[in-house]
Amino acid sequence: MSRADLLEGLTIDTLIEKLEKHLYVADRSLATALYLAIKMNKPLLIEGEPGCGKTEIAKVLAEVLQTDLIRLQCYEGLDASDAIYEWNYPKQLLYIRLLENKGDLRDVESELFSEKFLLKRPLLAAVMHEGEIPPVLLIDEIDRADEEFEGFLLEFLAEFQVTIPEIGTIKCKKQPIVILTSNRTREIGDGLKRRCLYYYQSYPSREKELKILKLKVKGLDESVMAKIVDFVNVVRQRPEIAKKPGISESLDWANALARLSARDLNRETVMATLSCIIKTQEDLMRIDIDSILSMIGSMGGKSG
Amino acid sequence: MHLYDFVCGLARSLRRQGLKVGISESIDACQAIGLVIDRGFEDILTAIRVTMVKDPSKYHLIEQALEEVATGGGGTGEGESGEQGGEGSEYAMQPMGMSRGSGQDQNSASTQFVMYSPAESLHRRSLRPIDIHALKTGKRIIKRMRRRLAVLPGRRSTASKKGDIAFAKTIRHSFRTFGEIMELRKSTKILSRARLVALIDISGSMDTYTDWLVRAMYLFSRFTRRVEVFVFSTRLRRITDLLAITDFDEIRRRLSSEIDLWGSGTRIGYSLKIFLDNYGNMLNRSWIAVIVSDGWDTGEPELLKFSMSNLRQRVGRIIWLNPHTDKPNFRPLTIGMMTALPYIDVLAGMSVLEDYSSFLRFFGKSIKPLKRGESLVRRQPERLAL
Repeated sequence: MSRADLLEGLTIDTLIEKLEKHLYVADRSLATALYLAIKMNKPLLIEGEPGCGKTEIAKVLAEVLQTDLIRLQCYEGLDASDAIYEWNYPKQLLYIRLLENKGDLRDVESELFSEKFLLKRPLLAAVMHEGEIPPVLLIDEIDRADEEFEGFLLEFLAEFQVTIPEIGTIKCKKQPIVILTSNRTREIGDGLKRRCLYYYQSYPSREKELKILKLKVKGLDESVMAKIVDFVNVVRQRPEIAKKPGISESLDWANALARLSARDLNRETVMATLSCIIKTQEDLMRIDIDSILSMIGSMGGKSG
Repeated sequence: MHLYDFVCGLARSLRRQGLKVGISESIDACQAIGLVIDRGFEDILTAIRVTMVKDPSKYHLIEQALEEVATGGGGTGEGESGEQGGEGSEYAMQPMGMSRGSGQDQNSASTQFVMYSPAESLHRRSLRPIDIHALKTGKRIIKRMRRRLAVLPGRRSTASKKGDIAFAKTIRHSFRTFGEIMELRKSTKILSRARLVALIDISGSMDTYTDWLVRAMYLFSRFTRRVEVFVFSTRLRRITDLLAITDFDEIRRRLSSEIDLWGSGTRIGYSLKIFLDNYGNMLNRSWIAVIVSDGWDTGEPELLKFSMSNLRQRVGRIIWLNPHTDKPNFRPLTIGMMTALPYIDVLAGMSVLEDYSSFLRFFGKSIKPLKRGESLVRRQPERLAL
């Protein structure tokens, strides 16, 4: 099957299957949202708690579609020169010096502002991508960027073109598959939401989380994994814990316990490895390990 | 029913329930449902969610809208402004004295009597308009306040003689002299402004101040986007979106009609918990929380303690404005104040709001610009004597 056929013959069920082959357990609703984003050529905005696999889905999707992943990490103060393009000034300077030595300064301007002196930042790289399948453009943590950058994105996501005054307007041949993620550190503007499909990624169900651990962590007993999932779920429900652990924390914890060859989840192992899931001093002081362990012990009793 | 009729009915119903569902959302929904229509109900529901309801807290409205469309209730096209249609059902409990003036109401008034009810007593109220003079003064004051909020070194830089050498700018500048570097360009980091979250108690005991506070917050929202405003009494409502509307008369109208929390009891701890649960992710040490409340809390002190300590962890500074602090013999003896006090950085009275200059002075004192490298750290609770 050619790459183009891969995109053409995509269904929700095959997408779930392929994602799982690449070690990503997706809900049917997430797979449907991705499927719709691909088929409708619309950006997909995924919001949710930190560490729930929002960034990972873009990476895995690029692998599934056998295409490139182009990532733009957002932060406060992100501007066009970091997101679109910048001229390679040192290289331009060196080139001028070389031409001076040669004494040949004809067509210097058109040479100096040509593609070979252009540093392609993620958005331009996505527009200029030449491949059978369009790239996956991940605009990560858009909530960290300023509102001004969000305003710029409105135009970019509508036109998928970049104008460079010295070169002209560059329009993309194949529209990239755009995935935006947000941790909800601020409300995303209505304008941007309107241009995107929207998916909210919440904490996974117990069964799904256990499935993820089984898929990704090797060398750990299944009963320990089940206890990890129960423990983390109880911690998430505790109102006194400010920073709730996500799936990535569960995975880190399971991997740590696997490295330590833990056979059971008891007070000692929890105390030694708790920093994998609890990452603030206040939360560490507040957490009542014994009560959680006794709670998951009774849960295990009921299910068993 | 045709797909287009179904989507239009659904959009109308969702709009009536206060969701912003425009034409583009309806078009997307038609396309998305068309792509999954031969699949199960779950996929169709996802298609509706991803295209029409872009707020997870509103997902429950879809079921109601689907029911309306199925029973033919979504197709009239009237009352789409979200006022007439939704109001009757959502606010079935009209407080006394706010009936719609029909003859039947007047007749039944004689049979009404007052007794205890476990249900919340929620009210609406009308707010005073804002005059052009206040707007101009407010703009001037807020501009000065914005400067005082600039306390954190950001990532952006500006040209400066005293700053660090900016390599890219120096090279770019050297093009004017054919690549010969004649001058080193320097730049310094621009200070970012701290973000402000205002949590305003609009319960009965704070009635005197709510009018002024809403107007102040409107002015603040007009001239800076770095502010989030919430009102609370027994529940919490975010009003940042409402305050973003340019026309204050429209804001007054919508605050009066849509916010039904005015003048009831107070559950500070519960409201703070809801705030932290839903909006806690947006907070960090660059935020300043301003709580305006008299500290009369009818909720559990434990919950207030827990919520305050949680808030303490997440923001850089907590300022509490309490009207009773102005009284000469004030001592924070209410359970609410006693519980919250250890977590507060600055406790001040409402006298700081008497005029704009004292308000500014208060802000200058409580949000002192930080030195280079200094972070927003907790200070000992202090009372500002103004």
